[in-house]
Amino acid sequence: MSAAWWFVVRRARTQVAVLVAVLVVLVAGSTLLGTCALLLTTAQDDALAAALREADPGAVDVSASLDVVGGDPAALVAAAHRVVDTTLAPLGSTTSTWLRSAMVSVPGTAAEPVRQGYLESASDIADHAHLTAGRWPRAQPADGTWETAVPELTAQQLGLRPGDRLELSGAAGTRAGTATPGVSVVVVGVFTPTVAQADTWSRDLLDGAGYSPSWAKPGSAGWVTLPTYGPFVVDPAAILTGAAGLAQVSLVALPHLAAATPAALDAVRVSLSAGSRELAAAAGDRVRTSSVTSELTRTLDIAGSQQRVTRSGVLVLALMGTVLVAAGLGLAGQIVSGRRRVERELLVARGIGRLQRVAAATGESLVLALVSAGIAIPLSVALYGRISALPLLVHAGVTGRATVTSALVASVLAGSLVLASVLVVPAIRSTDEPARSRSRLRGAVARSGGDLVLLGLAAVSYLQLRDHATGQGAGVDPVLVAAPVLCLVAVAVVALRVVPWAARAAEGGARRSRRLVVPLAAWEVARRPQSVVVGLLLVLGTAAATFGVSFDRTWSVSQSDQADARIGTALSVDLSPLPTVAQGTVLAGATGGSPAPVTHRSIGVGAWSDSSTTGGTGGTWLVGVDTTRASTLLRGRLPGAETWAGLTAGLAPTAAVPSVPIASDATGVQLTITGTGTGGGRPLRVVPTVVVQDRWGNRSPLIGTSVSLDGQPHLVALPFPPSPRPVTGELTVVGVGLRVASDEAADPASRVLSTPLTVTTEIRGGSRTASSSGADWAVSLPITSLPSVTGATAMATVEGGVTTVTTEATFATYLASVSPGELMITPFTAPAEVPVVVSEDLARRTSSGPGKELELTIGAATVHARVVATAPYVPSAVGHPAILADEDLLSRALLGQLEPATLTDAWWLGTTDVTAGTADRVRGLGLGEPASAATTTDQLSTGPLRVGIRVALGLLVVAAVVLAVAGTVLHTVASLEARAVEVARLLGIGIARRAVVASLVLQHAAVTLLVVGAGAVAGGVAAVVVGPHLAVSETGQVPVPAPVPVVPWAVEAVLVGGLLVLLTAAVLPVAQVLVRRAGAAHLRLDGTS
Amino acid sequence: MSASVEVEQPMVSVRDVDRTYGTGRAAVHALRGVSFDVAPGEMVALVGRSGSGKTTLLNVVGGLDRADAGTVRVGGTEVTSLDDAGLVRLRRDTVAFIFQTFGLVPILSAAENVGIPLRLRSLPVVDRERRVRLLLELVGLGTHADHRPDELSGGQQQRVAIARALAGSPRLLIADEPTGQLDSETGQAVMALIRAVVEAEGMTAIVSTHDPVMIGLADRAIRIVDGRLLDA
Repeated sequence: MSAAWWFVVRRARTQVAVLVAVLVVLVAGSTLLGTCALLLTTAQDDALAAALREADPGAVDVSASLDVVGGDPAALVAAAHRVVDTTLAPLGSTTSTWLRSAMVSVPGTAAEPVRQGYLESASDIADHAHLTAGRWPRAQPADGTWETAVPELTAQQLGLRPGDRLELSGAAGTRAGTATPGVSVVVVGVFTPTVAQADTWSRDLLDGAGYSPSWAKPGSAGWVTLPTYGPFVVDPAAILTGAAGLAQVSLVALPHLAAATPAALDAVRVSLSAGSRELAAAAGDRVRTSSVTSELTRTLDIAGSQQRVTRSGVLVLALMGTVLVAAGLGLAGQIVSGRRRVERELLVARGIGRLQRVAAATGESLVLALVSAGIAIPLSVALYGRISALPLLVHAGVTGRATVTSALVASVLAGSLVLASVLVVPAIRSTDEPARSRSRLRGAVARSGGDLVLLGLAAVSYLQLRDHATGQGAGVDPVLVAAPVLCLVAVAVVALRVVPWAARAAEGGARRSRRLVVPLAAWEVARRPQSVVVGLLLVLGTAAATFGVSFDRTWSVSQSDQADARIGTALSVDLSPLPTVAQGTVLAGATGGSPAPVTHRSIGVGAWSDSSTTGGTGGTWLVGVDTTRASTLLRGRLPGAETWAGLTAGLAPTAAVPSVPIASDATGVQLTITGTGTGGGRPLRVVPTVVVQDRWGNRSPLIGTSVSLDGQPHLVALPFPPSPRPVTGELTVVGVGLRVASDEAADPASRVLSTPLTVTTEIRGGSRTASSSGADWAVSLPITSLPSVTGATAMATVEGGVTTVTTEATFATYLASVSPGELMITPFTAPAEVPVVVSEDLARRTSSGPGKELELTIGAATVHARVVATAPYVPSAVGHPAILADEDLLSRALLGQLEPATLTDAWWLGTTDVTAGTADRVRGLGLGEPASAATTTDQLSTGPLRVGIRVALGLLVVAAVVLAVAGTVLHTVASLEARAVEVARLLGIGIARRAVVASLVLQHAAVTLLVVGAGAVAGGVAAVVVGPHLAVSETGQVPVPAPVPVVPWAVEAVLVGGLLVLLTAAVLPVAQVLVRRAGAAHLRLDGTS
Repeated sequence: MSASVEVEQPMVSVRDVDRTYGTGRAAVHALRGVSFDVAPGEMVALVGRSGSGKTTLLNVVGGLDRADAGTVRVGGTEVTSLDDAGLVRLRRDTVAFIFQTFGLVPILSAAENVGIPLRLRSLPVVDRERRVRLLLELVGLGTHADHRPDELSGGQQQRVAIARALAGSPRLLIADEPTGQLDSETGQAVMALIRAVVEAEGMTAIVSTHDPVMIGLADRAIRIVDGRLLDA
């Protein structure tokens, strides 16, 4: 053993207490780093797995779709399965298979002589539909007849019941000229689609509707449409054996993500990029088109982005903790140095050089670092284990067990070494007194300059942070990580500089007092040079803790604001494309609230009057809501005192729409149509559409069957779609659409150019009095340069509960092929323009502002809109250029554009409608997956990929308090030991021990008050200035709405007050013990005063 | 006719005092059966080498330390039976110390140091400041009232310590090698000052020293060797 080591070891033996104290601080810091490392690695992996487990199946499943033209169907399906299975092989998967036949002919009637339908098999049909009668079809055909189950609407329209047989004969195939053989089926079940997973029924040709009055006839290129029914759900063998011919294969594979490893996910990501190519190669010329699509890659990208943001946040807090620990170790180093002052002077006097001192200190630090790492690694695992058992992480599903990983070992070892190096600094300092004086002078100058440099750096980093577009790149954002720490340290240092000035104010009071204890404490505070390091530790500790508490609140409120803005309301139910006529009633019954129908879709926008300003801007979102309920319906914070009610005032129409009530006991709308008009020697035919409105404002079309305008009255029944609850007594008719066409059997040679048209529509309204009068009704015609219907007028009369609307027009039969013979009769005049509120980014893009006109393309219709106001964003359309309009007025404008389709894309429930359990009840209805602001807030705040930030914040606050208390005790012990002689002198003068203790505690409390106060101010300033810029969105972008700083004053007061009490209380026993020890012996120990 | 003879009580009476530090083989017998008296107004020099027990004896007399055996009376009060509060009262009202290391509070000015005993008695500010001025002028430091200890020489610091000791008007002044850290000339001046103020204030003094010149200024000397008095 060398002399240096012998000396270090001997010294360590005699100074074991102080070294243990240093080791404790070092272990605390290393454990903090180790735990943060586990939060950054193990927790993030667990979080990703938990997030994928909880992900909506539509966000992670893989779909393979093939448009079949020929070949062996079974072989083709098997090939498709192989591609999907191979793509997801690293994860494993469960695949559902949907097969659809080519179109087959459904037996017609006099009213509908030509109909078509299709067979479908779905391996998981029972999961997505419920039987209302009978059972699901079995595999084996009986007597050559395949068993089938049909949707409720198909059964209703075709009059089918279980046991009925049907001959689905061959029809034109999917390819022109290809005939397909027929198939005999027997109905064994009737079902209603459910929408537990919204996208499931989009795999069906009719989206699960069961019926379409006009679906394109195969091979007609869309020119010929036929009433279409289906699916006729059969066993796959019915389609694969070629009885009807395979037309479509749809595979949906749900990967097994519960135990997904990052490597397996990366492999699948690569496979997915080549999926379509692989499928096309496997299918060859047996398919027209094929594709493999999945949202999994995007979901993983989003998750990766969230992980990066969380990692940055955790790193920020870990860095703050490291700075705190470094300050604590600086203090420990100072204390050790103070203890070794005499010994150092002796060694220097005996010729030991600075290099040798540094070498000895380095060796000692190295040993301490290694011992610290050895303790901190298992301690980090244990602490992480305790943290992962916290309800916050259990709730997030991040409950994986931590193990010793290479990342943990590396970070703890590196952290211990770096932190322990702080202990070497005192050894580097000069021991030569003149040199130290010069060094102190240089130090003061350097500190002043250092402060300025630190402030400058903090200012620059703050500006960078403010203007920084985060969430970019693949790694952790350095600006996001470094800037907050720099700002916090700079503010803390500035606050620390202010403390002595405040302390000097106490001096005046001390001079004027006649007593001793309090003035003595005041003098101590004002005149005793306080340790800069302990001051920095306390200021930083308090600043970090108060910053942590405020930032947590700012961050949480921002997540809540983002969730509000993202969902737009308290609870939203995005609908699958199923009939919506009864949904409002169903929702109201389940929730007890007042659901509002909402339009929420992407539309096209172009400048209306000023074409030079812009072209179209695709991807604009249209949000239509009942703006008269904006105050309770719309959520999302607006700047200042603005409210959504104020912003949307004036968007709604001034009067309710006049309407024709439907009989309370009706199960549908009954029309009697009588008309005249001929073309090609035969009467024209007309298909009526009735637009009904429920009491919640939702408008839905009911499409009738074609009737002949032969002068005879024809009864048309338009039944309401099946509903679990009766909807009677709540519906009204707000429009009648007529689609006029020549009879297919008309002789083209006998056609006339135009013909007068008269259609009388009787709407039976039951016993209730109609609210419309004849004068109110108006006719809207297509806006086209060559209209086939012209000169239309409407006259309505109400008598005996029957509203009769007589429409007269001229029908140009020669234009029927280029201009649809459509007209819409409504009991109101359609608005010429719709006032709207636009998002600021749309206003920027279209150079529009209040007063500007816009042209909205909604489906096939065009609506003129006028901007009345701009908003920072539109609820539920955050991140998109968006338009907010009144649903009622928008619907009226669209009916005026002959667009009867429902505008309802979702149902919203406002704040007053949502109570505990509402979401679960709504989910149970099977209308669609509900999304609530509360759940989204929960996901954003405590979701698996987000919860790391909150855990790290908690760790930071606890570490700050612990280090502050530990540092205070360490410093107090050291400083009081150093002042033992002085204490003995005071006792010798005749001051009571109690008075000396009181003076010491008072002095300490005053210093603590000043320093903790400065720290609280520093933390508060940092939280207010920097906090909002750190509260980024889950993808690292600037959140919408912009975050506002939130300081929870009560919590901060408790924290600061508690810290003061804790720090003062920690000093009391130390002072008591040391004063008790101070005695006569000390009076002979020191020769200096 | 009976004649009553009034016997003057000694200011300090020490009887059979023992003081031992540590136990067993490591025990150090600092005082062994020490007994002596000091008359009021008398200035006694306590003489002995370093480690002979001078400081221990002074601390026991002044109530800074407790004897293991024997009794100590100061001004008629039995110090050895006083509790902590009684000892504090003793040091505050009866006894004043002058330490070899001066014992000044480093962060306070000369005037503030001198004012400490007066603050302990809650003297009105005006009276306190007047007395502090007086005492500092008495020790020749009237112009150094605002100087802190580290701005004063050793002799000046000890004079401030003397002024502080006098501030409380003690009946007994205990000085533990008051010139130990001073050069010879300054030491003589300080000793002369102590002699002068003791006479002027009529107080009793016990001064430990091993300087023969200083011993000459005392009324008598007591020699202590290894914790025992040679010629009490």
